[in-house]
Amino acid sequence: MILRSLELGHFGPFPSGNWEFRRGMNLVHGPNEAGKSTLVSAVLATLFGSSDPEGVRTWGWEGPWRASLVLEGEGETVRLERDFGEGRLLLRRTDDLYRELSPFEAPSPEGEEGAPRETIAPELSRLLGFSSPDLFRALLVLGQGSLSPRFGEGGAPRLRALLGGYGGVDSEEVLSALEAEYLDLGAKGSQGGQIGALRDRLGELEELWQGKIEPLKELGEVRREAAELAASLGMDPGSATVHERGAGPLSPALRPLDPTQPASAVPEAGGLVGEARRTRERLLRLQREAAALRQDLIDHPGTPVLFPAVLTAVFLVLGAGLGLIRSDLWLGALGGAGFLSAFAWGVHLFLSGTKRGELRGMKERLGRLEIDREQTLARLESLDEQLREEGLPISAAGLDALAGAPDVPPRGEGTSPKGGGGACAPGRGTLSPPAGGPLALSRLLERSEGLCAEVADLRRIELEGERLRALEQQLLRRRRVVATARELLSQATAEFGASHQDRFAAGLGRHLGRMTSGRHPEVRLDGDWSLHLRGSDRQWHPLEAFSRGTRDAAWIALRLSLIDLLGKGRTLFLLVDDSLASLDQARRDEALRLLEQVAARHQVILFSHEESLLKRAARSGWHMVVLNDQTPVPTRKPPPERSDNDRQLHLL
Amino acid sequence: MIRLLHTADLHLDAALPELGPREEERRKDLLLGFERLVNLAIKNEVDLFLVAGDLFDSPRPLDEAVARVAEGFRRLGDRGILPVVVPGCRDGLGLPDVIFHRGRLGPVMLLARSGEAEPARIRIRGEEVFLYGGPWKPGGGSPLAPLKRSQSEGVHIGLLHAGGRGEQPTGDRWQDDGITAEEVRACGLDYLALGHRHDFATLGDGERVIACWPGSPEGLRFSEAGPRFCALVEVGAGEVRMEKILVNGRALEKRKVAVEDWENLSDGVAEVGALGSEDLLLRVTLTGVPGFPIDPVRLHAECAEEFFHLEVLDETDLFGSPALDAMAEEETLRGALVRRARILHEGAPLEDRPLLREALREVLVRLAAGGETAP
Repeated sequence: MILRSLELGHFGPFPSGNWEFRRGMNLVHGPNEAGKSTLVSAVLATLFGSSDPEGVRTWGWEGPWRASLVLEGEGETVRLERDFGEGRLLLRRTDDLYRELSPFEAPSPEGEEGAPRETIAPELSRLLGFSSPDLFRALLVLGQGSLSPRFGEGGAPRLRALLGGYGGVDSEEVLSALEAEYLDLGAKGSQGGQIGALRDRLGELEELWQGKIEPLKELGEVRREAAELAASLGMDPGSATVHERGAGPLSPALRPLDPTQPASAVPEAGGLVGEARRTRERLLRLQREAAALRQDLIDHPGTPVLFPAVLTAVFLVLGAGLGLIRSDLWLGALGGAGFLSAFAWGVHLFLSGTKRGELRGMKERLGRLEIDREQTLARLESLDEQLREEGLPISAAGLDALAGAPDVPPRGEGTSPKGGGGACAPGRGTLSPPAGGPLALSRLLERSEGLCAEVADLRRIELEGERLRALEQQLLRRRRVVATARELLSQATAEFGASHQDRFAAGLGRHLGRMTSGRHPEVRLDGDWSLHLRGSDRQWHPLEAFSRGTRDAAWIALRLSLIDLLGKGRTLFLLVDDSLASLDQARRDEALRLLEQVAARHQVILFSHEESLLKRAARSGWHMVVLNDQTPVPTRKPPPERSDNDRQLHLL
Repeated sequence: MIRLLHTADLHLDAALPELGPREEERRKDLLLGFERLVNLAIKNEVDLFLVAGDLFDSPRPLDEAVARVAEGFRRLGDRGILPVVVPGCRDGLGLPDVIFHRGRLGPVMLLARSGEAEPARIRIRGEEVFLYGGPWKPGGGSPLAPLKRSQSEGVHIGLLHAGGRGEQPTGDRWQDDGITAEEVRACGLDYLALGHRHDFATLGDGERVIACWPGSPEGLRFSEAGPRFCALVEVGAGEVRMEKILVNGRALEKRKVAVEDWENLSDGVAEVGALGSEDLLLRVTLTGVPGFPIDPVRLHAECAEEFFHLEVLDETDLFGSPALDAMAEEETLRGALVRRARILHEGAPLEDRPLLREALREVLVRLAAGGETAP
């Protein structure tokens, strides 16, 4: 493919313009600031687009700005039009008979949303052999000032970068960076690197965690004991669930134990609480007993008088009746009736006395109970006063809440199936009550708080552990990616070297031999693609050991070899943007000679402001394009354009 | 009518390692979210502040979180609002040092009974209110079993931490059997305050709402993107009125960004950067067929400061792109690389293929040194 023409509309300093080019050598001549470099940029922007489309618009112009170029190859002509304002690209292909082949347009006018993007990359690969703009710049554009820009020491890194396909970074550098990252992450099976350090820290955290297991177990035991003890003390928290909305702040009954209280206050408060509870329970018991006794007194039966009176009457009637029937016996009958009546009354008097004794005993017991109750009540009032002074609740519910806060059964233990209503004081265990009292409960609570403090940093350990484990997963994943990438690149590099190195060295030797008139027809490429030439002593020497002229020739030969390789033998166009300006006369002449040799195979478009080149161009029959009309142009008619047959003749 | 604010799944003190340097700040966000809920409860003069599980993300949250929550509950208590909490799956009662054992949360009613416990009874403005709930473990029968309404007159409210039917949230320590409207209706409760699902959802009896999952008030992960809510509810005997209130501070969002039109990474930086907001946590998923290998790490690095947190996922189809087809045709190292990768990809097990694709992208991005543009 050669560049046949370039047409610009409001591109850079050109409101419009159309430039034609031919095969072989072309000279685009113009003074400084005439727009020579803009033309080079326009070719690149048309092929690959511009990262700053606004930047290439003619200053002050509001209309559309576009560029188009025509590439001509064997059997086809391709016209590429790019509208920078609308971001559209149109590629039209015609065959030698000007019949239109399949066009390409991006973005596709009928493309549906989400459909794969139409890319020009395959088209460029077909036209040029490669599609990378960076590679195009590196191979086909010779920048200002040098024939071998950026090739550097030995050229190998740059060569490897170009062979990489992007022209950006040396593939060995990428391989080394991947290797370094892999080692930095920590090679698989090793203890080092980021992953190793991270695992060390995770190990430390694991140890810290293990150290907390015993206190945690003990805490579980202590809590269970406390729950059982609280249950044995009969602390029912059910009433704590009653809450009156609108009665101001929550009842103290709803407040769980505040562990921020001084530890010393806990046993003391626990003693008072326990005694208060016991006293309250004693009072309740005394009250229940007294009430029962009073009821017994009320229910106690008296001794009935009616029974002996009736018996007396019966006996007297019977005695009188017998005396009337048998007058001789009336004295005996009356005496008998009197005796029996006296017996009945005697029994009555005995029973009455016994009952009175019982009643007296009961009254005495009731009196003692009353005295005991009054004493208990006084003690309870005294305890309540002390509790008030401590700022503690005095209600039964408050005491329950105080004593029952920390008693949710630990893991694995069942909770009471029939609780007292479920509330701030949680469920209690159902095991048999152990020995101990409120003081023991206070001690358990104190121990529980101490153990809680011991395991307090568990959460920090957990958080750090979670963070590190997440990081470990990321790093492990990253290590797999890097290892796979390293392996992939390593394999591809070896494969590419094996299949291309010898072939490339042979082609390079052919080009160099031609350019050096047969002095250096042999080139050797080492495994790292470093360049060696055979000297006059028949020994291999690195390129740096040769003269500047040989080195320049080698760079041009290298470029041509790369174009051959990457362009797959296509005829392409080189844009040489004032590359010879800084060279001395001898080197410039040599460079021009080399470029003319290149032009035998490829199209060369040389952009220059040097007047002397005009004469050489005229003398050598180059095609000339003048950017400034005031520049004197030699009147000699240029020779007819060389055809592809010329190339064949040259090769012969 | 009883007024209540219903929230759940606050997951205070959660570990969020995926947020990297923003983790601490985000953890503070969660606490701010809790305080916003407290303020909302006070402002709306509710009677009850219900937390249906997973108040904390851990059974042993850090002191700072505990102190802030205790302070919040204290503020509620001082205004006569009763906080009622059930343990969730994250802060359940399984461990001896669980925060609920330690009584450091101030005036809070913890419904910690299980089995057939009697409901807690409270009086609110002379009305009897019965509260049902407690920890539920899978395999122990229906989670609704302890929530059968008693015969007593009053308002009956349940609290439960369990998901809807068919849901199997990942990462949780229990698998739920699911709750249906029919089961809730059978319980006879006036309102069931649910937790565990992290998105807002309700269960109804006809037009009447009988149960609700308010969802997490601050999105924790990108599965919880979008607005977050709490429920402001008025409950009477057989009557429920509900208002859904937006409560989240920062927004979590997920966006898919098609890369077809990107000619270089700068286009991507411009497009993704334009979505930026300092309060936004955004997950960008790159999709489509790229014209060049996109480096998500560099894209992230160049856009991250526009966001509170940015995550970039690359789901582009570089491997099957025309750009890669063109490369495969080249007599270059990258051509050899693509050909080699495609051969390996063809023979690799399905689970290893993403790794190969990522490795290829890694090499191409490095070879181009980030300077590649789409032709």
